[in-house]
Amino acid sequence: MNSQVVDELDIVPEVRHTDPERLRWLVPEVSAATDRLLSFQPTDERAATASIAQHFASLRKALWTSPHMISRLRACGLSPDDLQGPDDLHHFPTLSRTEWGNAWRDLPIHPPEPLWVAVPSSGSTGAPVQVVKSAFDQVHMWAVLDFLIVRRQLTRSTQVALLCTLPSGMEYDAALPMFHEGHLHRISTQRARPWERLAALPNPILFTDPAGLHWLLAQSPLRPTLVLSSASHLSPSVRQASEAHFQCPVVDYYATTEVGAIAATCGEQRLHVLAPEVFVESIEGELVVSRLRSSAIPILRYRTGDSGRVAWISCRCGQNGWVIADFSGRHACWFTNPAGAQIDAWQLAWLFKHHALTDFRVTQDSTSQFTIELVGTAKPNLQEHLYEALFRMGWVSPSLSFHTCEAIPRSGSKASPFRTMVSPPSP
Amino acid sequence: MNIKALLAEIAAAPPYAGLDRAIAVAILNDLFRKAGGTPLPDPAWDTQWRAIHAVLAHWASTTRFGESTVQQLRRTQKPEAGYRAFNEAVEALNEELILSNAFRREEILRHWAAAWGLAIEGETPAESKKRLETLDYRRTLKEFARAEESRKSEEAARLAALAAAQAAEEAARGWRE
Repeated sequence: MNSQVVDELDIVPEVRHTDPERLRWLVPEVSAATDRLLSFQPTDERAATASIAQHFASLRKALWTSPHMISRLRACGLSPDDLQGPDDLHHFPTLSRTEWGNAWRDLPIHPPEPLWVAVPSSGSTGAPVQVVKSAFDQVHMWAVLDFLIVRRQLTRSTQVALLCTLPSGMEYDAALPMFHEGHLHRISTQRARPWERLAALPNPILFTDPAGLHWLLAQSPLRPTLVLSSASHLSPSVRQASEAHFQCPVVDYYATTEVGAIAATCGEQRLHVLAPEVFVESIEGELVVSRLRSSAIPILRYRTGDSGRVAWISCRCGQNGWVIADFSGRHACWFTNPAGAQIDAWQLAWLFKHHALTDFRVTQDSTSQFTIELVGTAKPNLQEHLYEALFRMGWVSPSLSFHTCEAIPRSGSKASPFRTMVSPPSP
Repeated sequence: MNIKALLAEIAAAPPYAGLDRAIAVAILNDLFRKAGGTPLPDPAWDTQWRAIHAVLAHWASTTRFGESTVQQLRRTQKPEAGYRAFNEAVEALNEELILSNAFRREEILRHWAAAWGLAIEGETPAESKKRLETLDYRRTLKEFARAEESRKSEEAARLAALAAAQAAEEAARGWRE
């Protein structure tokens, strides 16, 4: 994880990278979060609404000490104590990404706590925003992972591998005291023998993204305990191919840098909201999230920019709860390659991540012609990497036209960096 | 008094567009007459009148707020004491707040009920008291002020500590040099 010190908030300066050993004291809190997730088993939506209302106390308390949120609520004649449960949410204002970007220094609770870090959110869909994370925010994912393992009745592995395809090639090994004294191995496909080093881990839990899955599907099979895919849209075809390849569950894990974990798929491919850690609404088709657990920022009705609707179901997986249906995270886009195959355009997203860009868009104008619009400065190797990636995806001689511009016109609250003018082939 | 039903009626009623003081006073005085009691005399209104009374009068004439009040008002109610208690309780509220905010509307209805000893349907007195304490905007404003003061003093302490650390470092450097 990339993080930087934010002196204005008096963050301890020596924390310059994730060092899980330093966060050992959070083991009980992580365990408590797992218990919360496992214990939230309401029989129906009415019981769930009443039960989750109890978890609003933490959010209320935090709202009182966030300078920006207090100012915002006061301007509306509201008090944090008016927010007694989910039925009160619709009276409260929503928080947009733009507002977050402008107010990020005044969003966190006061006073600051030890070991806070500031992490830029993904810049691949627009200007990144700074996200201040508490120590617990940095480790909450391990509670979610433990919950998923227990819920799926899997044998827990203490070896966790994070497979990364980013060009930075960052790697590290770290102890994971908050995950049953496990170990975290970040392995980069840009370094030597990544597959061999993954294969040396006994039945690991594997975190990656669709780009990582594509890479793994081209290798010999591994035998992880569980695979979690996040960061961008996981197509059903890639998921099914991955499950067949690894012979283990593949979970699509919906999380954002701003909020953390929001939802995860079950064995029936339903995207279950991770209540009571978060509460999700759908407002005019946009997913709006409130975070109910302890954290640096009291997130109240944050507009994610992702599309979907929220429904209550009794799922065949055995879990009653809220699910996100018709989820469209980052505006799925499919390019058609010269052979007529539908290719997930988001496989190209990571190529843009570590350039000094504030925005970009890739348009497939015709089967082999692409326009790449860039706002900011890209390194010279971007063109070469794009050619390589497209070649691997089936374009022998793509034509790439690069344009640098001041701004890319968009509609909708969350930018879509990919679009195609090519109609998919008839079935 | 059915608070939930009243709030729904208020939301559905014709919007408030101002009401002449004399008419508003007449509407509110009628509540006491219908209950068999004595309304607040005109001279007393000179000190007790608040702009939000006009909103209450509007609700009394467009919803069952008036009827709910009349049903429970005691003939022996002393209007001056009641209005004094009510006005003190709602001093943090104004027309804009109660017209724009569902919680402040609920709050003012509950303060009205509390001032006149009206029972809230479906709640014990203890539950009504607790709900009103949660909603009380006077408490909220005090908390806002306290939180701001706390933040300022912590910030001042942090800056003082940083300055002291910097001064100590410069002093040490001076010794070394």
